[in-house]
Amino acid sequence: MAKKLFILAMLYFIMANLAFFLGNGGYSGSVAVTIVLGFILLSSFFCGKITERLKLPMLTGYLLSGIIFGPSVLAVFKPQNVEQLRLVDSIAFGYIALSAGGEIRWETLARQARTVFAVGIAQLVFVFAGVFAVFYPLLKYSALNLSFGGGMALYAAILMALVAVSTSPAATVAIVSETGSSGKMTETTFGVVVVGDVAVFSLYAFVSSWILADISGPVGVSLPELARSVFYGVVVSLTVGALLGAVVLAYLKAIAGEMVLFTLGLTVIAAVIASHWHLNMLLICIMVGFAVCNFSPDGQKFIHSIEKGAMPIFIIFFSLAGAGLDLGVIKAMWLTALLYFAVRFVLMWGATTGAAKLLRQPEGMRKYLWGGFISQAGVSLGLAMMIRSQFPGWGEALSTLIIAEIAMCEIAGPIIFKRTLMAAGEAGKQESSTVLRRKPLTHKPTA
Amino acid sequence: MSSVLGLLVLALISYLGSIYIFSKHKLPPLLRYLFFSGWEFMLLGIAIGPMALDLFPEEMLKDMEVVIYLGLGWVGLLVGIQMRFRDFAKLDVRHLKITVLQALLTGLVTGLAAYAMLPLAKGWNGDVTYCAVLVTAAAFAISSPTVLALVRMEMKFRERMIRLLQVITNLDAVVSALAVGIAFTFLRHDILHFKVALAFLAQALATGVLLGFLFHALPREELSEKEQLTVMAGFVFFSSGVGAALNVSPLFINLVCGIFLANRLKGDDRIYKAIFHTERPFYVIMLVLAGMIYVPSLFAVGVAIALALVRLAGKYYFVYRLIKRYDPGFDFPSNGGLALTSQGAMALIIGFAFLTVDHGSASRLVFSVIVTSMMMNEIAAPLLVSRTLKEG
Repeated sequence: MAKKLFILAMLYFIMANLAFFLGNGGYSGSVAVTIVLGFILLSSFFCGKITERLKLPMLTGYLLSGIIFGPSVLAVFKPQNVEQLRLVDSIAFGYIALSAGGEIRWETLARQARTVFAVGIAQLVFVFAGVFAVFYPLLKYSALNLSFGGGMALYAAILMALVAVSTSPAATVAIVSETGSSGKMTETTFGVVVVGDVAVFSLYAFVSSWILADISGPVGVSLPELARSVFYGVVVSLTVGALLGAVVLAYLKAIAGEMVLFTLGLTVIAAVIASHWHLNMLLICIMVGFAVCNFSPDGQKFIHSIEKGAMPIFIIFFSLAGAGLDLGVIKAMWLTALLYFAVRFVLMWGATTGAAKLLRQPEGMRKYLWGGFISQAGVSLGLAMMIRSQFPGWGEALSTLIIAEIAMCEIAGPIIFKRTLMAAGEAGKQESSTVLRRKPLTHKPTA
Repeated sequence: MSSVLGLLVLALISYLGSIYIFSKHKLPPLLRYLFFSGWEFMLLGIAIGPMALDLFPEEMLKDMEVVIYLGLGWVGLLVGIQMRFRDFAKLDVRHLKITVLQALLTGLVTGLAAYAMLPLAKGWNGDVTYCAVLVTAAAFAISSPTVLALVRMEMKFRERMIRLLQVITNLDAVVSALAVGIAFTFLRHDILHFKVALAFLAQALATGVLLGFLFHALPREELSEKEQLTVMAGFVFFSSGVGAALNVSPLFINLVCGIFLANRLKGDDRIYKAIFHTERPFYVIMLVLAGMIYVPSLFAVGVAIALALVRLAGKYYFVYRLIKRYDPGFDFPSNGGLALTSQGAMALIIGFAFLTVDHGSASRLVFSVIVTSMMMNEIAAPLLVSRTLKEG
């Protein structure tokens, strides 16, 4: 521990010394990107090691590192550096989605379909309805330190409720990878997270279009038209994903070399396609991972190549997520955000546990399945950013509140998920060692 | 985004092309050597660059600077980490003298020739003349062990002679890279600001050593292979960025870091192996980029031909004279210097390093001269190396 703290102190010393030595001009452009990328990889890795020693997920360390060294606290790197690294961030997002898709097995999904869909629907209905029921009156009658004029309180409450349903595929992949977890609960969590987020994205597309149409008045688009366009968006994204999956399968069959490079290239291609044709990158990448790992005996090669390059990707992704959190904003909204977090937490727990009980799942599932759905990160942040850009004015205030709540979920979620996996006895059960796992975890099986 | 995509796709195409060539066709040995040196990647770069199809805009280099920094840093670390002082102590002093002197003397004559020719270029920036000359000299003093190793795999030669040639080809890269790092420090800080330049150099050296010390302080035994690779990537990014910020080039700072590590990691070659195994993607990308940036004006080709001839003559003559003066202890062919014809990727790396510190036309010209000469040398090297070794 002392050694790791010493290394962190030395890294900080070098950065501070460099800033002092170079004066006001400092460094910018590619030089800044290179230094900051290196600093993030190192500082976050060692923070992760420290949190691991404290029996917390490494991912928590990555987030904390981003917060501590980011613009809000020590300001070793600046907001513009975080912006410069957004390209890496979006590649990381695609990479994580590939991995999440690859973790879903068709046979498992078929076996667990009832549980996955029941839990997913329970979350969607109860979390959405619960958050809406709590916040709509509060927003409408300005009981919080937020006020939305006109009919905006309705829209804001709907969007808050929708974001509350979203979870974090990235945190799920990272924690499962780190703990080497395997078993029914892990499989169900993956299924619900992926299916749930696909549903949330589709619903968001629909809801946001409806709000925009409603705000703009009679010239707006009709609901059936909206539904059709959203449906096409989802179908086209999944089709593009399936086509890219076919390309990967052909590559695996014919060549199967330089897989890390290939996977990286694939993620960039998916990002370019998604941005060019306004498709959903998450859906494309999930579909690619799913198709490759389910329809080819070589799927494992693909997953291994993803695992090989996953650690730096996770580090960068979560550190940037941490660095992107504005502590000033969180400070200003912490009470409302805490309420939002608490309501979501209770509803998520209630919906998941209730569904598991109704389905007569084993005790371990009933007691611990909820732990995988508290995290929120990239998907939710993405939604918050879309709200900010699509609804200027009230959308900005709402997005700030959502980001403050996500910050709490980012910190608490991975810790809870790791604990519940260990308590359920699924940690350390993977046969093949995965990316982040080094030594078996000690756990007490209770299920 | 599109440039990153483009480059990744290119790297993949290049990789597939090389697999196809090696697996489907039995090429004659000389052509095979040529492909091993990565020629095809550079040709591909030329084909899609501004010179031919112009698929990638000029801004490409700007976008790719991070990759170039990382590549430079990776190579610097790879070269540095092989430099164990205790291995040098085992070397015959006469061999060391031959190695260092042939590099310095060849560098000197090519440097003089470059000093005479480069300022003749249209619109030459006189402020960077000394730096450009030093970079050119460093790139032309280098010889590559690749062709030597490949020829050796196919034929049997006397071990002692091969060993001396390997010492030369491995060591002159270090001499050159160090010279380049020092040259860059003075690029922005002329002789009037000698103290400032010296402070930057000291800062870079200290940072290189400090980073090496930090890396050495890592609890490496606790880390898995993948964790080590992550930490290493972080270190290379970080040190490369620091090198670039201090204007000493990532190549230099990582070389210093590598040398420090090589002499502290007693018997632990895991880091070297990890770096070595991940070298190829960087190498391929750098070669493709080199082809794309390459702009062979008539002047550049002329200078390249002249300098390549001076280099070849220098290698031939100085090795001959030094062998006569410092008897290596075995029969060494009089034309042994010709076995050092191959210039290799390190020359290219030095050219890239110059591009990252000087964004003017001088660095582009020097880069084009280096690429032209490298391509010529890679064509001539297999023939000259195998003939020289056979005679030996």
